[in-house]
Amino acid sequence: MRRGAFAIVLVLCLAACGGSGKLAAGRLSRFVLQQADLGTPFQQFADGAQIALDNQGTPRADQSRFGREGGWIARYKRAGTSKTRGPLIVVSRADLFKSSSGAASDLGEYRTMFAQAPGAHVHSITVPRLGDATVASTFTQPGLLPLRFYEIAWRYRNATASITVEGWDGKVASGDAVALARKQQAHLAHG
Amino acid sequence: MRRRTALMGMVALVCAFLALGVGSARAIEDPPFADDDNGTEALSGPLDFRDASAGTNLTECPQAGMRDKNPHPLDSRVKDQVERIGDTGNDVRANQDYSCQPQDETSIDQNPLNQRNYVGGANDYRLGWGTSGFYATTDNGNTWYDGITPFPSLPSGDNLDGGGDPVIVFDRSGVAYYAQINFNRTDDTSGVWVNRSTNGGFTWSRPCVAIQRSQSDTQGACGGAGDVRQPGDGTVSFQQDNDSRLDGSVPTHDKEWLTAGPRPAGVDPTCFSPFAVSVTGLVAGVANPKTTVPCTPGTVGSDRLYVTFSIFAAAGTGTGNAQIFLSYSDDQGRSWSTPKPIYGSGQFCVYGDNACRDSQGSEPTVNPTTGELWVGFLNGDTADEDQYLVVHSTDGGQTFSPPSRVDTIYDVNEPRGVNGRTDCVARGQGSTRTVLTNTCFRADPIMQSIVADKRGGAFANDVYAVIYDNRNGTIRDSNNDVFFYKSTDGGTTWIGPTRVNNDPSTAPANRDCGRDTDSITGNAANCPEQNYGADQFFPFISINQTGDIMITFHDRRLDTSSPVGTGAWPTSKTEQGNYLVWYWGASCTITQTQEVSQTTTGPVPSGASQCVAPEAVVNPTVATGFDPGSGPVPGQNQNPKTLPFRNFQISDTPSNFDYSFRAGIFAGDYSGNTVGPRDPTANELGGNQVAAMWTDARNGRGSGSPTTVEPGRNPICEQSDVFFDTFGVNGVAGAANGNGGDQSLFWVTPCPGAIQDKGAGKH
Repeated sequence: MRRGAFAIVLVLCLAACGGSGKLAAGRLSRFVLQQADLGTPFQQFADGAQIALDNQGTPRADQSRFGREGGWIARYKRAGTSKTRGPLIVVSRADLFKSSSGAASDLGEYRTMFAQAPGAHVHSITVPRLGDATVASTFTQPGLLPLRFYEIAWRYRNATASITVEGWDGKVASGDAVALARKQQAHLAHG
Repeated sequence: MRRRTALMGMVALVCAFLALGVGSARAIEDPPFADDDNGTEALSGPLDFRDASAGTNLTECPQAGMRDKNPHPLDSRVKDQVERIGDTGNDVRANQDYSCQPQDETSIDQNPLNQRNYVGGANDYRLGWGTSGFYATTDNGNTWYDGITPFPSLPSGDNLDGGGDPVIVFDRSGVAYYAQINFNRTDDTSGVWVNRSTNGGFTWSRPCVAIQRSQSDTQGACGGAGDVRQPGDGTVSFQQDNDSRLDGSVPTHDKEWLTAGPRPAGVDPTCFSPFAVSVTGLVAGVANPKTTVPCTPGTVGSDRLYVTFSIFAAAGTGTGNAQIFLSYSDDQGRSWSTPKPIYGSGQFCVYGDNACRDSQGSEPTVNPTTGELWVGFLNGDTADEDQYLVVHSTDGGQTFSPPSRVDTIYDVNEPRGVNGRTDCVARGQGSTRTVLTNTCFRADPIMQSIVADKRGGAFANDVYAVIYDNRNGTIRDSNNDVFFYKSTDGGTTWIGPTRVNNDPSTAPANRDCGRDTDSITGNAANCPEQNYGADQFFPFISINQTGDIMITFHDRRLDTSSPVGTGAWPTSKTEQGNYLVWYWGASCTITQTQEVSQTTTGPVPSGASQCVAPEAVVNPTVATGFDPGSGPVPGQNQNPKTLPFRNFQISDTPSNFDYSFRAGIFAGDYSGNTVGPRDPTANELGGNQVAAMWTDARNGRGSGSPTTVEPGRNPICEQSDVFFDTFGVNGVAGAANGNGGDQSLFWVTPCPGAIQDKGAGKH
């Protein structure tokens, strides 16, 4: 009986001191891809709280949308030539909301953005589910050397996350993007 | 009940135990040199004095001890090839800091009483954030002194330390003025201020937002006892944030410009009460005006100063507009009139009441013989393309004419993230910002340039403007050109466009290919790939007292060979050439004039045809709207052989803007030049010297070869500097002295390993 009471007390204490299912804004910087996730060819060229310019001109431009509490962004670049295979630029984002419904609404804005993306051959793609709901798209940017973009966004609890993967068309695949998205989701799941 | 109480008590005890455990672990670490007595902690000096004013910055003071020999860093690095090339020629770097941070967005003016004294300004990031840098020379640009202008003091006791949008102007008595916006980075506090220098730009006044000590206080104060500044000194407009958050909750100041000129005949000096008026009231048109007060003896300046600026409406107000306001000062910037809206209305502003209230990028200019004032600005109250408008005032800024329409600015077909440049969005550029083919620095055609003729008589009504836009390009392939316009009837009727840059430029068959109807959105994939010409951008126009017009601008024409898929950001390099940037000039002289009005028909009359391309026209749409559609428009396919402006290279080496601020996404919004007054007594400079000041990234570096593993993008290697050069009005005698050598060295310029950030603890 005494042991049982202590266990109850401990559970209640942990509940009182934290441990809810909501992701905490204090760990936002850990919810995006980290340098170690991408390896040595990549170097980070931006890492910080999202600023207005990061979403300017998009359906996600309102920084207080859907009870948003904050967002983080990390950008990575690697050296390359026109023959380099795999991603050349990777952008990783995470946004936290007061509730999961806010995050769900934000994912809806991602869906709108992906559908409106300027480029050639824009279409949604099916990727393994990440978190609670996922949306993904790909398109090419025309040029003498066309670019290929993969964009994946998902919701996990009260957060949305996304990655953008950019490389030469024909030399980067959806699997590259999915692999990175899974690494980012692992950070979110770790809380 | 008792059991539940007991349980809650236990929870509280356990939590308290955990908390105290952590707390006690901290408590036993008594930091060295600390004194636990209340209020006697040994804070560092800067922290201890954080709320104390350090002075007013008003003084020209003794300078004993200067030996005029600059120290140099104990660098151990070896100069790379690009640095050695960058040291050739006669371009001079004006910023003297070694911070490895960017400077961009330049302005310059010459002291009319001392022609070897130039003062420049730029956005200056040497402190690690954006401030307003100044650069002063008294030996014709051979050597420079520089620094950051003093931050405005606020009623809260704080200083507003974010700054930018520099504009430098001398008045006729040799006092220099520095207009700028200042703002907080963490909330919406912002305003427009003017610093003053009486010693050629070496020391500057520190502006003050007047403190109103009680409701009955009409005098105000700047600070405590001993603060000698006139309350309100330098404060043109000010808005304090209302919620301590950066969320657009109050209107925002932006894009100010400054000019100086004589008060028109019959206009007396006027001074004003010190307190800033409600900006929200200004936007709503219900602000209480300042009262006029006697001018402080000895403060009335030789000229009236005019500042124009934009106020962007607060977020969520539904207005979404940016109104142009004007304020003036007769006491050398110490007090300022109540800002008044000057945008006016016209048939060409097509919404609602025809008010042209969606305007920005304003610039004022004054004829120095009459005091007549003109203000040019960009307006977006159109169905599609933007337009450039001009208003004028003959009574010192009290009243203004309705706007006249100079021309369409063909800017909606600029490449942007929302119409296909996703590569730039991935680099951090805003998705509606204009970018040029091959690069991602913002190049929005907002800050155009206007200047009044400096002569009187028949020239007193003549005004000149330059704009740049993408009428000769598409959303897939930019080809921005610079265009010149002139008015000989006081700014009502405009003649143009005349293409200023004389390099090859071919108009696309469909300028609007891929663009959504009446929108900046679209899909570049629906445009054919074609190189229509190189980009020219950020033009600035000035004129001397004998009619020599000088236009300077950034130019990419000399790069015809940089390959696709190379450069600092290979995925953005989609077209051969048109990548590296030089600074160029174009000159033309106007020695005769003839009034051309709206009743003029047929070709441009010969008396008004100097510096006008044969294809130019008397704009028939100055009073009416014009939705050009996608067909041919004036300014396309002008014959390069008959263009009237002589073009010449100014900067000696190329510059790679991919190495400018933050992954190459910002290199300023404008540049500047000044044409010295032609002195009939023929001083040693010949009286017709031009000085140009521009942003130059020759000292910017990448972070490794694109063919090797990069050792790291190194933010300290991204820098642009302020460069200066002088030359004659015809472009000879000292413009470019070198071709930059092997351009390929500038395509990718690695950050040398010896100067890369090594990480914490590894320096």
